[in-house]
Amino acid sequence: MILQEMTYAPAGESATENVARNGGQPQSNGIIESHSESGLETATKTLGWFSIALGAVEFLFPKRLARMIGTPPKPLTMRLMGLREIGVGLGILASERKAGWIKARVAGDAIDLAMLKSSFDSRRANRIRLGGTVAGVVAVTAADVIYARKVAAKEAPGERRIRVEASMAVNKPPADCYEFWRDAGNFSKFMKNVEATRTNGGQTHLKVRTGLVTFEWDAEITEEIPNEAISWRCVNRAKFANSGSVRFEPRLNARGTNVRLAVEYDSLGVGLGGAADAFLKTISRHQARENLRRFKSVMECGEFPVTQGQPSGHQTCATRKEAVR
Amino acid sequence: MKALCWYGKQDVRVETVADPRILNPRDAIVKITSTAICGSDLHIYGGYIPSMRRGDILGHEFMGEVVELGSKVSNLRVGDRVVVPFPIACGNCFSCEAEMYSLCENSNPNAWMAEKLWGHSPAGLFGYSHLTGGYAGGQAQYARVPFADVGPIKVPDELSDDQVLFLSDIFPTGYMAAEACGIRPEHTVAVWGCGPVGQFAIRSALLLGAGRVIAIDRFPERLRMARESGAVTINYEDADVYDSLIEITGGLGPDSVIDAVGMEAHGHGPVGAYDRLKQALMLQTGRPTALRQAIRACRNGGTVSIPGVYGGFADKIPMGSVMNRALTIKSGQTPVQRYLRPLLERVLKGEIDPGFVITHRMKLDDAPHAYSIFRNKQDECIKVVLNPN
Repeated sequence: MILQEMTYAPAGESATENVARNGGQPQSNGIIESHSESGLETATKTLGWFSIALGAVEFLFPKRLARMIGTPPKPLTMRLMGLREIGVGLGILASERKAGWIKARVAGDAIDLAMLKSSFDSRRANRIRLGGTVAGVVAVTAADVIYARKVAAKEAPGERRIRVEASMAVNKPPADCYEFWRDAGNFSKFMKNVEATRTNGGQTHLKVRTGLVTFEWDAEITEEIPNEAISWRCVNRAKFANSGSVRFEPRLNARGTNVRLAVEYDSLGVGLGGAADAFLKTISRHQARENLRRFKSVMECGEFPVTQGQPSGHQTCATRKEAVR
Repeated sequence: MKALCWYGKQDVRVETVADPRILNPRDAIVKITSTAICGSDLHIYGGYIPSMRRGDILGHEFMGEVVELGSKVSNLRVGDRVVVPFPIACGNCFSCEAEMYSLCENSNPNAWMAEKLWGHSPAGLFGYSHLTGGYAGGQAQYARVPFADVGPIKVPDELSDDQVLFLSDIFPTGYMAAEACGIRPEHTVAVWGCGPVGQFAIRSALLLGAGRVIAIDRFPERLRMARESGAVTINYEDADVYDSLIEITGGLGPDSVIDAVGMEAHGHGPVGAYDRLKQALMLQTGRPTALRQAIRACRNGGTVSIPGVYGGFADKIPMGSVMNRALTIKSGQTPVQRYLRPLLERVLKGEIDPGFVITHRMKLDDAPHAYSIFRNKQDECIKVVLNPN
């Protein structure tokens, strides 16, 4: 339900700038990129390369390494651990969201420590070397924990913006589409559960009923190119700072309009390594597309197709079961 | 009102449900005078069409009297006698403007579902699963008809229901299948499946001037009806279809082939068992036996026309045969709206009386029995017309 709000909801600087500077070519928000190369980044990279190097040794020379660190030789286990290290290292280096991968290192450290502990019981272990190894792994684990926290804080979901885009071909000229979208009073005709009214200050008041909660906020138009594009953002930074833009591009040979909608909003700021955001992004992309589909229908046909309210034998069947009880 | 509802595999019942009402300004409500069971309804009956829900009202071949109109339908009047095309089309989108009504971009409220399965969504259809809109169908006393200003066609009083009912689907569907073949007088057209669509494909091919039509089935009554229409017949239980076609056509094969069977083809031997197994394991949704045969038999450079319904994925389609021999494949749900007027003309001129295909008439209450005998080809059943009122 949050998503519905975001999908419909107005507003955003970056989208606005895009419209103004690039004639509307969407670009990704610069917030994450703005963190330049820093000590933290160097440390993170070092962790990544360390993982890969250690993993390579584990995979290529499992027996020799086992002798070195004092564990009983178990080449297969060692090789698997090596693959794990390499995978995590690559993840750290290649991924844009490194926090999760560094957390994976912490988890890996825990596995290593558990296995080292069990090695102490083996007759084939070299306890002195094992002791040194454990100390080393503990130190690395501490470093991993510290950097996992730092990187997670840097990549904190609260600072991130989520961007959703959708487009739809509409069999009406751009001017008609623009005209219709420009009138906030039309929003409820193609956006589910949305009511919009003009306020005195030229802003738009939006109300989204989700069934459980009703969200309300004001949005203002930040950029407008007649018959081409509209950008907006929410002014009172409601629960989610929303921004968005819609562009109306003539299709080839003037066969209607490609309507392109882009909406940005703050991340939910809840954990699971961004899984919640990713999930909600999927839903909001769907919502954005469905809203555009309704926009298309309303523009082309004056209505959009519905089946809610039509007869079905489903209720009949349910009623009957109750009667039997 | 009473309506035929689907509850599961081979479980349909006539239930009392709410009357339909106008939901959109371009809707109409039609009181149904005649409605038919389509061969494609049997795919739903057999549980082969995904996204059906318990209680869905079936039926997409129906006609009747307009009893209520939405505020924006101005070309119809209450009391008009109309035939309703099975695809729902807005008349405004790119596809409708190109007269590809069955690909309407605005009539499927569940377009996103169809996009997931098929890449893009076709039009919404009456009573044919939620992939194509989940619209309540016309095997009922009343039906709500969306975009009523585009679909339904008024029919003259001098024509009986039997003569015009099949304009809703099977006549245009068989006709389009034949039209797709680019028929010339010297052409031989082979039709797999002598069910209702096959029968109309045979008649249409002859109407369009085909020199010879060969009909393939295994039920004597269906082959008899095909012969009465003017076709040569092959009973595939008595003779090898490929060999027979080769022999009849002097080795070239038929100029065009029509698969009027679809996804539940009856297969023989190990290949048939293999298809049934794969379908049961949900590794394919269709058993394309007829289509495989048709492709192999078609002459080099010929046309494969597929009015038969397929739902999802079919296995072992001989693409090598299609590609190397330059075959053309034509298919699609029929844009019935495009064919209504020209085919009504043909009926008025007496070129064809579509009622020839009807073998059974029943009340709506007997619809479950009708489904059963139609599916099991009992009592020489070819086409059932139901009278709901």
